[in-house]
Amino acid sequence: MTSILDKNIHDLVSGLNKTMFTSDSIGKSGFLQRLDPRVKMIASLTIILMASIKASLLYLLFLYIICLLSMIASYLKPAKMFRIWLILPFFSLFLSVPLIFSFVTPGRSIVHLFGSTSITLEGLLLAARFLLRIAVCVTSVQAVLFTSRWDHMMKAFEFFHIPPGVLFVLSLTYRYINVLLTAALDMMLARKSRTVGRQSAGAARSGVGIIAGNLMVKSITLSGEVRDAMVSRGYTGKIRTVNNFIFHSRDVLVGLSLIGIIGIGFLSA
Amino acid sequence: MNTQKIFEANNLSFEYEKSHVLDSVSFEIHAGERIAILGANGSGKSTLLKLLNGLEFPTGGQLSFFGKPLTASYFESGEHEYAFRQKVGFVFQDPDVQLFNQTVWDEIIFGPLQMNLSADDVIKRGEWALDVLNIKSLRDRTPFTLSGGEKKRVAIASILSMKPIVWLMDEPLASLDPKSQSRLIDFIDEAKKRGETLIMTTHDLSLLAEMADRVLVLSEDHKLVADATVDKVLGDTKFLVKHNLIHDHRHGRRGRERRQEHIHVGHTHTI
Repeated sequence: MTSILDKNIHDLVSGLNKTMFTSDSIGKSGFLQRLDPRVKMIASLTIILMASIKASLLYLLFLYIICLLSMIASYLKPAKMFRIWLILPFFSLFLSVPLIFSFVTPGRSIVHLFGSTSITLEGLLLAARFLLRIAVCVTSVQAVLFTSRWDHMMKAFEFFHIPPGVLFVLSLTYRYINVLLTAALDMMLARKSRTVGRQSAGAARSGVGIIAGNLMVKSITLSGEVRDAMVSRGYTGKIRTVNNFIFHSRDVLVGLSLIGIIGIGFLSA
Repeated sequence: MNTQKIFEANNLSFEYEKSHVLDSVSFEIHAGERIAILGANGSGKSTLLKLLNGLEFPTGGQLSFFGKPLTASYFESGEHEYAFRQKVGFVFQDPDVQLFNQTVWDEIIFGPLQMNLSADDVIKRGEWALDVLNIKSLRDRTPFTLSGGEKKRVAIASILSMKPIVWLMDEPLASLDPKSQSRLIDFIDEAKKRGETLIMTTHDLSLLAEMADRVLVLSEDHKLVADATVDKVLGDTKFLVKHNLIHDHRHGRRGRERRQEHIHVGHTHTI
């Protein structure tokens, strides 16, 4: 690649492609894979809700450990989890850095830096809480995503009375992000193959802008064609699967555990 | 012809943004035929397939399916749409358009699922399609990890599982390696043996005789300029040149190697 901008976009796009569309964990017979998708969704939402309203660091850590253990019990590859964990909260880490300084969060000084600026205990705790919350939310959503087939998830959404039109758009978006990401990579490589020498930052930005514009046109064309392909196979807007969801005792157990998690949350400080 | 008439087009026209895409096209298609629609790029081949699949509707003339006009109101009846989609399968030129599910298996059972079949029947059809296309090993793969040839086979299997009586195929041989092309031609032969009707678009003449019995040729001004046997169309070089289906010369054929300098429009090269 001819510039840092190109290289970063290239790596981000190929990384997203790898992480979003590898479905090897779905076929495994782990803890989460065997749960009813509706239960998984309710569990994930409950965990996100509790992480958002509770401030106790210990409780947040408890939620995070529950998420991690569920993923381990579902045979999810730690490397993959780590990769996603790195991509998504990476930006949060940047956002949380200012929180630790005394000029943003006044409090007891731990490390004196210069003048009246220092790192405060309150700032560190606030940053840790912020990061843990993000980690819990991201991990909890990942756990559902990597252990559920998309059609099951769509059917579960139907159970929650999400309108079919919204589900249709969601399902197509998920699948075609890959096609468009691949197209974006191809366009970048095609540009690179015709670029000689080092590019200025402005030229690189302009190249990225052109690719983004082309992708938009491509996505509009593609959406029409995909709709045709679905309609020609009898799609009328209803999500159908061969599996009809049935509650098992393990689903009830998870439901009871959720009540326990909520209870602990409200009992904790 | 004694066989049942499946499609009938009378002065069929289609306009897009006030430009003709198809202009007064008339033909009949009967059960069990293998038809190739030939034409240069932009002649309206793909649009014709979309009209035959009820994805677009004529802006002029009539198109009927088993005697019933294919119009938007025909598809408003769920019963008609259900029956039509079950009978007519469409293999798109770009398999990426058609493969929108998470795994190959989900893709193959997508069509049968829309038909309200029982779970057992859906699974049986899926297994059968995997078996016929010899793609059992791809069952749990994600479509985006497949090669071009594999994607094409999965796209065909996803239609086969619906057991259509009419196949519409848009450039089925495009971007396939010779082995995949040969497999596809075998599949077309088998479909014909099962009594299915095949309507394919192409501008590749090299395998035409193996794919089709009858040819419809669309001109660059979107009119039907020939409805004839493959031999008759391929034997008329002037006609092929006129409608931009071949160059004004060929680059060696049937194993004969020719070396000569010749001229294309705008450049010169040696073969």
